[in-house]
Parts: sequence; C-alpha cells; structure tokens
Amino acid sequence: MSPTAAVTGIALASPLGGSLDATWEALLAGRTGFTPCTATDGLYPGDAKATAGALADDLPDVPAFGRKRLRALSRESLLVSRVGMLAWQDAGFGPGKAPDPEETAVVLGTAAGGLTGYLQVMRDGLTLGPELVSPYAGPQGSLNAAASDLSIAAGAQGSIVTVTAGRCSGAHALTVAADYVRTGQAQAVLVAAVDVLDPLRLAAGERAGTPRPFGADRAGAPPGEAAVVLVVEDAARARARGARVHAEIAGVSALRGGADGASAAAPAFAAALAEAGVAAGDLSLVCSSAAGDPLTDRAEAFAVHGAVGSGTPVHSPFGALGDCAGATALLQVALTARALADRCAPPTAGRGAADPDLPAVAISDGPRDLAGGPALVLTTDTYGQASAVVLRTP
Amino acid sequence: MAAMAAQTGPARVVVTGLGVLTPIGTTVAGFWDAAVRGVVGTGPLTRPDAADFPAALAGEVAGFDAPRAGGERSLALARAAAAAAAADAGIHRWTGDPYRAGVCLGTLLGSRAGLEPAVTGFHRAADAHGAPYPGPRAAPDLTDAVARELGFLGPGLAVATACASGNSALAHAADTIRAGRADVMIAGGVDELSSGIMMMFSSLRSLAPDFLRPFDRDRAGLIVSEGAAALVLESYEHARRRGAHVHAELAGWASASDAHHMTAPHPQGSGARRSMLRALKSAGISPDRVDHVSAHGTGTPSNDRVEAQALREVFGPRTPAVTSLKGALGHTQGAASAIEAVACVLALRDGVVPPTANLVELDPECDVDVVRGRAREMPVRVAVNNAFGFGGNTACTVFTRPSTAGSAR
Amino acid sequence: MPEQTTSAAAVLDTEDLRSTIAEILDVDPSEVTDTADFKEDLDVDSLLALEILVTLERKYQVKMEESNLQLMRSFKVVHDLLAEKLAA
Repeated sequence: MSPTAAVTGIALASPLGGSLDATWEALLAGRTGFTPCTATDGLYPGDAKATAGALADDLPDVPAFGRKRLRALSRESLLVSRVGMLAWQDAGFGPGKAPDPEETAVVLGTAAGGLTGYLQVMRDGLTLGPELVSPYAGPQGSLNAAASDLSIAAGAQGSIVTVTAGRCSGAHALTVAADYVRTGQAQAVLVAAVDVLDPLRLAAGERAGTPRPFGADRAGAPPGEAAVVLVVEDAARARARGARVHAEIAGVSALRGGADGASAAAPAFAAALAEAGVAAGDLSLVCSSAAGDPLTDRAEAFAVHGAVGSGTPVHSPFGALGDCAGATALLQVALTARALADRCAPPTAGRGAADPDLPAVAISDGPRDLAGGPALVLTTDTYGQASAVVLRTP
Repeated sequence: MAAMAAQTGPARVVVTGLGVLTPIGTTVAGFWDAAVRGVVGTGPLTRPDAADFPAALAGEVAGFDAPRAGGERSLALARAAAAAAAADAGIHRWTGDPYRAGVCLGTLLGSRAGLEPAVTGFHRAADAHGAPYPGPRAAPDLTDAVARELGFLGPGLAVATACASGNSALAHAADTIRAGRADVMIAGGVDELSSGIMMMFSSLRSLAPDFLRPFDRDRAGLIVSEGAAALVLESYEHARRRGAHVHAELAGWASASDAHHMTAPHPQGSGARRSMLRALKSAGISPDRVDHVSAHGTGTPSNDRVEAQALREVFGPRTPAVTSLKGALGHTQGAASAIEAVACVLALRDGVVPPTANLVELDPECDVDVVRGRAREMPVRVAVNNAFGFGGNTACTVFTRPSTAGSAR
Repeated sequence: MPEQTTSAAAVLDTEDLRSTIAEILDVDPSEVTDTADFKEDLDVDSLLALEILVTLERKYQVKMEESNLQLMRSFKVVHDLLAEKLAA
C-alpha cells in the first residue's frame, strides 16, 4: 500500500483572527470579518477601496523562524514565514527536533502572490528610475517569492515549488505535497497558501456587498485575504515520532474544467472520492467554497446535490471571510480538519433566502454535530476550475 | 486509477511533442538549426513600444506582434507553443476523456506584463485619476487559454520557481502522470518581455552591456528575452496505445532549495548540486553515464562560477559536454528551461550539442567542458537540463533516448 | 508616492543617517559604530551594500558612484562620502 499523507501541523491568519482557534470560534459564533479598506502608496489610479475581509492580525510578534532583516520582505513573505513557524511548532517540530532539512520541502499556492511588490517596483522604476529600485524589492514582486522566503526562514532545503490556479491553488499545493511524501521526494512538507488584498482586488471589489452563499440574492463576494500553512508528512512516520495527526489526505483531484463554461466541480468531487475509496454517502461534511458568486455557487450546489443529495451537512466559511483567492482551498482544509476533530460544523454566515433555482442541499445554519466519517473540501472558481480534497481522521 | 498504477508500477513518462517560440526561431526546426549554428538572437529592442522598456537590449520573438495589454502576448505565446507541440504529437484537439489531459506551464511573472501599459501610462502621466487597470488577470489564465483551445480540461495550473519554472512545470506534469492523475500533459514555460523584470535585473546590476557570455572570463550579466516552449508528456503506455512517436523519455526530475538568499546562489551551489544528484537518482542513472548538460549558464559572474563548481562536484573533473543556450537566446525567464528541455530532446535525437554562443575565453573559474565555437557531434544518450532561479529555487530534468527507455531503471 | 524625498536634502544629520543604515541592516543603531566593519562585523553582503547605496541616493537625492561600493566599509566612510556629495 502506498504511504498516506497526513496533516500534522496547522496554522493560519484570517479576517476572523490570527489563529485557527480564533477563526474557528468566530465562525461558530456567526461573526464576519469585513472592514473598509483602501489601497495606499500611489499604486493605483484614484481610490481603490472596498469593504473587504482584511486580516485581523498580521502576527508582528511571531518570529519568522528567527530570520532577520524582515524589513525587506513582502507582506505575503512575512505572513507565510510567521504562520509557517506556528505550523512547524504545531507539528511538534523545533530546534533539535525536526526532519532532515534536505528532506523538508516547501510548496506554496497563490493566485497573485507578489502583485503588490510588482506594482511597487513599477512605481519606483517609473517615478525614480530603474537604478533607484531597491535590489531587495524586485524579487519580492515575483510569484515564487513567498515560498522562497519561507524556505530560507525555515532552512528547508528540499524540493520547492509555487503553484497557481486561482482559488484552487491550495488544493494543487496539497496535491504536490502528497506526491512528495508518497514518492519519497520529501519527509515533511511545509504547504502554504497566501493571497493578500492588493489594489486590483480592492478596485474590483468596490461594489461587492455582503456575501450570500447559495442565496437567492447572491451577487458576488468582497475580496478577502488569508495565509495558511500546513505541515504534511507520511502518516506512518508521523505516528512513529509520536506526532498528533490532525487529518489524513485520503484523496485529491484538481481539474481545469471550463469547456463551454462548465464547472469541473462534479468530476473533481467524484475523482477525489474514487482516489480515497470513499462512498459519497459516507461523507459526514462537505466544506464548500461558495461565497455568493452566481455561477460557482450554482455549480457547487449541483455537484454536492448530485453526490450526496440533501442529507450531508454543507458548510461554507466564505460568507464570513470573503473570497480569499489562492488561500481559499487550504483555508477550507484547515477548518475542515478542525470540524472533523470537533465533530462540529459551523454555521454558514450570510446565507439568506434559499435560491429556488438551486437543488436542495443541507446548508449548515448553526453549529451542528457531525456523524463520524470523512469530509470533502470542494473549491471552485469562475473559470470553471474545481478541486476536491477528501480528509479523514486517523 | 490508483489501483491500476499500483499493478503496473510507476508510469514511465515520455516526450511525444515539441513546440517552441524563441528569439532565434519560431518553429522547432528553425530554432534547432539556429541553435546548432550558434546564431545570436539578442540585440537592440525594436518593437513599437520599445520606449516603455527600461533596457535597450533584449531577445524578442520576431514576427510575433501580439500586444502586451491584458496579457495577450503571453497568452498568444503559450497558445502557439502548445498548439505546435500538440500537433507534433498528433493531437489536434483532444478527443479522449478531457479530465485525463492537463496543462502545466512554468512562468516567472505570468501575464503580469499585461498590466504594464496601464501602469506605465498612470505613472508617466502623473495622473492620479488615470484609467483603472484591467482586471487582475494572473498566471492561471495562461493555462486556461491553452486548456480550452486543446480541450485539455484535467489538472491545469501554472508553476513558478522564477528562472527554473520551465523545469518545475515538466517535473510537476511528470509527477501528475506518474501518480496516475493524467494520461497526457502539456508542460512547458512562457514569459514575455516586461518592464518589471528588466527593472528587477537592473536593480540587481545583472544586465549585460552588450551580449550574454556564459562562462566567459568577461561575462557581465544577462539579457532579458521572451519565449515559450511546450512539450507533450504522456505515460509510455498511453503513447504506445495510441501509436505516438516517442522523441525521448523524461527519465528523472528533482528540485531543491538553497534556503540561503533571495538573489545570490548558495556559495557552494548546494541546491544546484542536490537537484542534479536527485534527478539522476530518480532516473536510476549514475553521473558517469551523462553525455550532455544543458547549463543554466546565465552569464552573471556568480551563477556561472557556482554552476561550474556544482558540475565538477557531481561529475568530477571530466564533465559531460556542457552548453548554455542563453548566449544565443538571452534569458527567456520562465520559458528558459522549457526551451532548453526541447534542445536536450533534439540533442538526443541528432547526436549534436550546440555551441555556447558569445563564449570567447573560458573563465578559468568555470573549468568544465563547455562546447564553444561550433557544435559538437557526439553520441548523446543521456542529457541533464539545469535550471536555477532566484529565491534559491533549483530544478533539474534528465532526458534519455527512447531506445534506452526500457532499460532506464 | 514614495516617502524618501526630502527638501532638506543638503542637511546631513549624523544620527539620522546612523539609524537609517541600522534600519536597513536590522540592527540597533548603537551597533553601527563609526568604525565597525560592515562586512566583518555587520554581515553586509554585496546586495545589502547596494541596498544601502540606493536607499541613500533616494533619501538624499544624490548620485553615489557604484565604484564606491567597495570603499563603503564603515559608517564613517559612508558618512564622509555622503557629506562630500552633499557639499558638492
């Protein structure tokens, strides 16, 4: 039997709090994380402002694995380095107790990592001249900066890659991590996902109202930001070192979709279940990425209904967080691991009147006890992309 | 799916299609002919919007006039390379299960360059109320365009490891096939010229004043270029079943991080050395069987010195025939190692290693067997493709002739 | 717009310069003594030296020759070079 990839460390920062605990408690209490935000620093013509899911806490006091000269890092790089430190500790790693650095990999998913840094380089280069662009700034504007900074901070010398596929970026990152662990390309993987509020997303979110996941009056979501880092290891190795396993990654599928605008939600759902060897009826929870988008919520409702009907509880955290872009899928994985551990689904914030054009699904409307059994994380985007991750408790 | 893979062992990954657009040629045949002749494709930037770029020299894909705005140029480059590779593989539009065919492209900046006309207009005009920028079109669009056009609707993503992105895309696509999540993948890399990347290399004082001279004593930096390459990868079984011609086997791949510095390579080339060794190990091939290394060879003082040192550590003092195509191409960013992967496959096919253009006097600090002056005709059975990006991201791929595919491990 | 421009560019405040450099190096200003060797004592590599140069060029609106990078080995040298540029 091929090795099983397990999640042994979890840490995150979201609009609802600077930790998994804080975010979880806020979700259970039905709180939302939206505040007015404005882009600064002359990066964008005119005002780019929106009500958005801004991070509740940038964790300034968390050491980035002891790395110095943090001033030169982008916000994405700082966030994943700090959240990564917390995930590393959560996995029980630390000085004198860590996997071989050469066997420690970094995989990061992001939709637009480094975009703010890129706009800063353009601003400085165009207004001051290319010679006066800070030599530290340029590399921070590329997609791979945050993963590189995390690997430098953590001293992780193993495989490294940044993956980008819209909201499904985190699911692709998790797939890469599971491959690394299963094929022996790494002993431990820091799997990260990050996207922050940049001027383009704020400008695009200017008219977004409160998100209404699956709601009849849904009209899009405000932008949100988040940083999530998981530690993924071989389950047997994790148990051998006495680590706590938050959840096992039983199956993953991430598909492009998009033929004639069709979503890949249903095929991804089915493929992940098949890889996990799990029957749809055995799922105890579906964590949906519905954030009030007319098309993606519809695709998810049909995929969920087609697989599990209206019995299995369905929960989306994005009515409270906004559209967290490339951090979406990994945020769902972290929250779903918690839901499985606590056997509880939080309410879906913001859901209003049910849409009569959508098939009936059991949208969670209050903290709800779960039966035991695996859970599925479903993530979609407006391009038709979809990913599904099956998680189970050990 | 998983059960089938378990019965037959890990899938072998083969190359069945090639497509390139480069500053020295926009077809595989044209590119290879120019590479073997040592044609140099960098020079003064001539495109109509040249004034918007902060460098006078570049490597442009000639005869390719797609505009930047909205990311159109990167999209067009990616689509053209992918379509050429698919056609070479005998695939015009995918008619099998669409979710078993995927796309994985490496890129440094994605279609971020598409923002530049608007950003440049805003800052140059010092107009605080300029036009809003176009939407946040980011890297996934590159993949989306290719996937829709060819009907490859399975695993689809872009990967970024800076200048190593092409190899990283090949590695991830190969992992995807080996894990049984796809039968066929289009993998490669794409980047267009952008002000942003030129500003970045300028801020690092890494731009060459005239030519990119890999491993030369007088090397003084790189020249930014644009380009795209795509390779059709599939499992050997799948290629055999559909009767596809196999160009080569992608026998091994690996990546490693220096975990040292955002812009400087590790002084002992730690990541570079481990990437090469791991890729060879994954191919089941010992270093002494390698005939040719397509070097990263960017022409910056530190990269070439460190790469040469890593090559000597992996291969000993008698290294395989090393060449860097960047003298000819300039640095095509995220496309570089994908283009160089195509060159490796062609070197295996033709038994010829192209020369390192612009190399006049080998730096004694880069004491490896660099092919220079003219192409070297020699049997090439195993080729290693190096790619090292800033952030300490390194990635290597290993290609073998199809005839040795059966005995590769 | 970027924050570094100053109309009082000609005035060189020694302690302000010291804290500017300390901030770039992420150390306490007291560590940036007049004679501490940037490379040996403060771990300044070539990129960091370039960052100091660019930051000073932006802040004081002067052009410092990059050939000076090799010379910029201590706070005192940087201070004197900058004072010379500003006086010119």
